[in-house]
Formats: sequence, structure tokens, C-alpha cells
Amino acid sequence: MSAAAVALFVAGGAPRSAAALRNLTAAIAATGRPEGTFRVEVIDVLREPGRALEAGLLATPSLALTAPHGRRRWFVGEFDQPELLAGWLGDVLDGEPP
Amino acid sequence: MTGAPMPRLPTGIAWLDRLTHGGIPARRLTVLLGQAGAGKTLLSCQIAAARARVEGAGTVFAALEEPPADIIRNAAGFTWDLAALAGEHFHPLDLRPDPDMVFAGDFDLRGMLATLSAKARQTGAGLVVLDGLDTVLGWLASPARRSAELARIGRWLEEEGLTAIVTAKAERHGGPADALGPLEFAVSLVVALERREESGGTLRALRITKSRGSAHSSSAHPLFFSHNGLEPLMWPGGDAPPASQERVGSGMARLDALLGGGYLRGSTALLSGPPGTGKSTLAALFAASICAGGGRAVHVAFDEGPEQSIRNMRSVGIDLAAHRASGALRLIGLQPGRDGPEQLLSEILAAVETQDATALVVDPVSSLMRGGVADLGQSAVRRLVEEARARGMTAVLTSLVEIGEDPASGTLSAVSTIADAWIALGYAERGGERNRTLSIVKARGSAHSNQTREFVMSSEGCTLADVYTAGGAVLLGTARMEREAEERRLETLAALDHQRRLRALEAQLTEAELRQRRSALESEAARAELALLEAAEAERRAAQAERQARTAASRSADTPAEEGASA
Repeated sequence: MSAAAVALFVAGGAPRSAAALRNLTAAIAATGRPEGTFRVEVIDVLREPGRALEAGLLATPSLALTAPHGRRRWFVGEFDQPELLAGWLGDVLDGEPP
Repeated sequence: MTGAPMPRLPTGIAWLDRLTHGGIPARRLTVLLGQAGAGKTLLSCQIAAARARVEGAGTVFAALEEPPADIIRNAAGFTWDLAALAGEHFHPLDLRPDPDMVFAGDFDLRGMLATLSAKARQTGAGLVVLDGLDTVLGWLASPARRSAELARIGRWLEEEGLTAIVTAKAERHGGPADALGPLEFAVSLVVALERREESGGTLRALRITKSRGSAHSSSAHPLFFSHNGLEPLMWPGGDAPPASQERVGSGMARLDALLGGGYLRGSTALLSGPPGTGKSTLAALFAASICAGGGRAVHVAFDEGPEQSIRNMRSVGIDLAAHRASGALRLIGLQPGRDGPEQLLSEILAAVETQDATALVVDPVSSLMRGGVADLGQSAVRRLVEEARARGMTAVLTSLVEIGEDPASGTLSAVSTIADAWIALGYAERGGERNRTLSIVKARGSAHSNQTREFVMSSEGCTLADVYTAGGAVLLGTARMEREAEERRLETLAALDHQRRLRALEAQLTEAELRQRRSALESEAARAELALLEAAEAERRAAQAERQARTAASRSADTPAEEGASA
């Protein structure tokens, strides 16, 4: 099974960006899925605005999750509740409505 | 920070640039507020199109609420072709949030700004429209966070050298939506679009509610939809170009003479009068004269179709069909009442523009004012007059006056104050006949005669006839013709009298000359007779002297004979 792509869009090294990455790592761990289920990429839109344009990005931090054979889903905010994000990641991966 | 005026980015829409003193603030944030359907999105598209046309400049259009395809479709039907501009100067960006998007915790709009920066760099656009930003700002938890994000947009514009327009729904009358937070700090210009449904139609208006760094009036400027998009009913500022002194023929030489050479170019003349007094004829004469002189005219007839107008005018010797065939004349029949004044105005302006008209006839303009909200009708006429002035297009508007109607009331009075010239047509009843009359009530910039003339219409054409006053009344029709005959008779009599007197004097002169000649001859004869007499006397004396000498010798007289002593 191929990995689900997780794109974390952040704007520079703002405190919000660091918090978002920390919370994402915690949430992935909390899903209890085997390692390699998620392929995480962090995109700094200040360095790569072209990637923001490609994605039609609105807010930072934002997380775009694309499950294999699934459409892209958005999760916006600094994810200050990792358990909520973990539940959402699991739901999207299982193809259930979030 | 007052002092130096804020640099402006022209919108390319002439009236809006005038209202905003040169355009929207450059590298700043402008907010377009309005309730649903007020035209916010459309006006921002109109700006994008105008900038493309006037400046060749590009606009990034971030659609946060409606899909770009819908926006382009809604703008179809205007003279600017947004679909054709798409990808060239109009760069739509579908940024509608995914409905399944989940929010958890705080966020900011740097992601969106990065997207827009990338698009602006890619396209070279200088203006960014954020259509429906209030929906995105609404996700933020507190008014303070909304203000902070607006301020972020403000800083971003300065850094990137971009200018932005944000459209947002107004919830209260003209006031900003709560979602936008307090606008005072981050926003340089706030333009409110209003839309109100009235019994007679839709009233639209634009109001500048905030303009940092420049004086502004917050009065409402009525708008209407024309083929060009939103347009003001009254030209802002109202400072029309200086009135031309050039004259345009009215189509009737005698009337031109009365007006001091014709109508002033770019002026508007009102022809008022009861039915059948020749308003339409005089208006058509003008249109025909313009076309004959190489001009281009639009002739709008209410209540009757173009064919009917052509037939009616043919009967008084005006050939509208030929001018229509040559393309110089555009004849339009419009139905009053079916559409509101703003719709009719829009159609007339469209025709004027496509025809590139130098003259306009609206027959009658009262139909333009019928229906709709009363103010709208008047504003529509005012707009026509301003359009004429701005284009240097001469306009002739007719207005029906019902017999017995107080001319100071209603539509006529409203139009007559706007018009530059006012010619009143009417009937005069005298001696059992009705005759058409014409008098000039006012003519700005002309020394005009205020005497009433007779307006004579026949199949040979139309003209004005001289007027005679008798006992203070102007003579018309038969009375005028009788007066004219009397004048001719008196003239003949005077000529005859002169001839007679001339001949008498010549005879007298000849007689005197003859007398003079005769007396000269007589005096010559007298002189000759006198000379003969003197010669005969001298001869007699000589003979007598010889006789005396002979007598003395025969008597041997010793004394010389004494003269007369013995005679």
C-alpha cells in the first residue's frame, strides 16, 4: 500500500509553524498506523510561493492530506489538539466522512 | 501622515477615477462594500476590464466565494469581454474554500498571500481583487484577529508593490460586515454600493464612506446599469467642458436666424407643445439636416416604429429613409413604460455610442420619464444632457404638453431647466382658424428674438413666416395673408404715384426749357430790329445835312447855314 501524502504548508519559521509540525508528528504517532503510512512534506510558502499557488492555498498553517485514490482534504490551523487531528487523519485514510 | 497626496492607481473607469480623485490608493487596500446583488463583484470586474483596456494592465482576481466561471458569465453582455480578457489581462484564481475543510486552532492568511504573490509575479498584474474576503476572515475567532489579518494584507501590499480591492458584504445599511472588523485602520478607501428596491424599479447608488488622506463627500451617487456596466446617472463633479460657440443648423434657415445662427454645438434644445404642433417635424428636420451635412444622428421615437416615423415625415418633405440607408441616421423605436428610465437611457446611450452620433433626437423625452421612480426619470434626462455636452453632441428633445396643462408643472418644467434652449410650439386660434406658432422661450448664449412666428408646414417643406402685429396681436394665417396683400397693394400704389410725379416734373422742365429758347429768339430779333432802326436814322440825318448844304449854296448865303434855324 502506497503512502498517503501529507503536505504541511507553513509560513516561515513562525512559532505557529513549529507548533504545527510538532502537533502533526504527535498526531501521526497517535493514529497508531504503521510507519510509512504517511509521507510528510513541509512546505515553507515564503520560500516556495509557487507551491502555494499550485495548491490554491488560503491559510497557514494548513495540512493537505491526499490518500491513495482519494481527493485532497484540508485541515487548517495550528492543530493544538493532536488527538483531533489524529482522528481526522484516520477517518480520511479510511475513506470515511470526517 | 497627511500632506503629500496618496499616490493613486487609475481604475480606468472615468467616472470612478473622478469620484476617487484619480483612482484607488496605490499599494493600499480598498474595500468595496455592499449587500448581495449591489454589484460589488461586477464593479471589480469592470475595473479589471477598464484597466486592461486603458492601461493594458493585468488584474489577479481571487474568487473566494463564486466560481470564476460564474463571475465571467455574469459579466457577459457588457461591452467589455471578460472571457476574452481571461488569461490575458484578467487572471481568475479559484480560491473557494473546500467545504470539507476542517478548522482547528489559529491560522493566518500568509498562505493566501503567498498564493497571490506567486500569481501576481507570474502574470505581472499590479492589482489584486479579493472577491468575498469576508467569508475567509469570518473563520477567524475574534475581531482583533480579523483586524490583524487586514493589517497583514496592508503590509503585504506595500512589500509587494501591489494594490488590492476587497469586496465584502455589508450587513447593515452601508456599514461593513462584522466579519471584516473595524476598517478604519487597515483600509485607505471604503466604497459602499447600495441597492434599494422601489415600486418603480431598482435604485442603485455609490457612496464613498471613507477616504484616507483626501477630502471626500459622502453623498450618494445614483448609478444605473448600461452596456458599459455600472455608470453614474449624474456625471460626478458636473464640470462640463466649456460651451462651444459653434452653431449647428436646426434644419430651418429662418429658425437659425432667430437663434443667432442655429443651435449651439453640444447643447440641448427642448421643443415643447401640444399634440400636432410640429414638434416631431422640427426634430426630424434637425436630424435630417445633420445627416445631410455629413453628421451622424440617432433618432429615438417613442410610441411609434421607425417605418411610421419615416412615413409621417415624408408627408412634410423630410426624407429620413435616405439618411437611414446611408447609415448617417439610426432610427430607433422604443416602448415607454415597459422598461424603467434607466433601462431606456442605457439603450439610448448604447445607440449613441455605436453610431458615434453628433446629434440626438428623443421624441418625446417625456416618455423617458414615464414610469419608474420620479427622480430616476429626471436623472436620466440630466444624464442625456450631460452626455451630449461631454460628447459635443447636439440634442433635440421634444416634450408633449397637454392642452390646458400648466407648463410650469411636471416633466416639462424639470426638462426646461436642464435644457440650454427651449422652443415653445403651439396653436393660435383667430378668425376661425388654427395656426401653428413658434417662439423661443430661452436660448443660452444667444441673442434671440422673443417674438412669436408662424410655423408653416407643407409638402414642399417647412419654414417660418413673418409676423404682423395689429393692435398688439400677432397676425397669423389668413389674417397674415390679408395683411401681406394689403402691404403689396399699398406698395404698388406708391410706385404708381412716384411715376406720375416724375413724369409731371419732366414735363415742367421741358416746358421751361422751351420758354427759355423762345425768349432767347425774341431778344435776338429785338436786337436786330434795334440795329436796323439805328442805321436808318443815321442815313436820314446824313441826307438832311446834304440837303441843307445844297440849299445854302443855291441861295449864296454869306453865313453858314445854322443847324435847325430855318428848318
